[in-house]
Amino acid sequence: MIKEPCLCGRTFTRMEKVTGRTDDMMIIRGVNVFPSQIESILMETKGTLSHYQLVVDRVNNLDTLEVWVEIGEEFFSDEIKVLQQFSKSLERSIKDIIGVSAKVKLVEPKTLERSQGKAQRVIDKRK
Amino acid sequence: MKIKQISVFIENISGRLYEVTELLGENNINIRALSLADTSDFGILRLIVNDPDKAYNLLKQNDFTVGRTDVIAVEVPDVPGGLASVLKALRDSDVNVEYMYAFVERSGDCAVMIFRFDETDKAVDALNNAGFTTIKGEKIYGL
Repeated sequence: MIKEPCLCGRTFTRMEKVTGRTDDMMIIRGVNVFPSQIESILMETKGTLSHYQLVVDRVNNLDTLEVWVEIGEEFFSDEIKVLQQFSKSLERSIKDIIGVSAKVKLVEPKTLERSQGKAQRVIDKRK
Repeated sequence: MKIKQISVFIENISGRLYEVTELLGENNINIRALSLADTSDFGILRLIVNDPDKAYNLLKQNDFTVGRTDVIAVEVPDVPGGLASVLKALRDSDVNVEYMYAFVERSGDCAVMIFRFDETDKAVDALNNAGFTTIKGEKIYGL
């Protein structure tokens, strides 16, 4: 909700931009997570391609979130530490912004499924 | 003398390494030296081949994630303490080794090692000043 008056002068409380559909929402360890939140973090980070996949699973009764990210060609390095720093910094921003510890896994470009039209971003393995 | 190294991002899927080597083999590219760095999710294959530019373009066309880096090939005396003497020269000029691996072939009486430094030019100067031979690209590709 936005409490400040609108630029147009209207003073009522306004609704913020819609985060996503409620049926896209995942609950991971009690935290509500929208795929669009992850998406906007990835968008802000240089070196990632727009395609990503979220894998939710339950290991030892704990929910886990894996974010599969395609690494951009220009960001690839021959040094492992560079790539690891990259995934670490992504994990940190996800933790800071959403509050969920996620594991970032780097994958090759063009390996994530390109679905026609509506992309299937989330794979939920929990049962 | 800098030589060109090809690095390939390899996802942790069985058969991925095979695909890279198969592709290079089919196109008559010979691998001169290689090292594979692994993490839990992915690996990085570093290659010295007889035709780096062809290998680079070929891998790129086939949708591999490839990079090119300058590395240095150094002749290391094939005696006890040989590598230490090379590393001493580098330490004295404050150059860091990012990684290194060995070449299969020998060059005369010396073993050949591939080095990746944080500061490549500084490293070449340090090695030359200390009397070590860095090997030219053309020679390495043909070894």
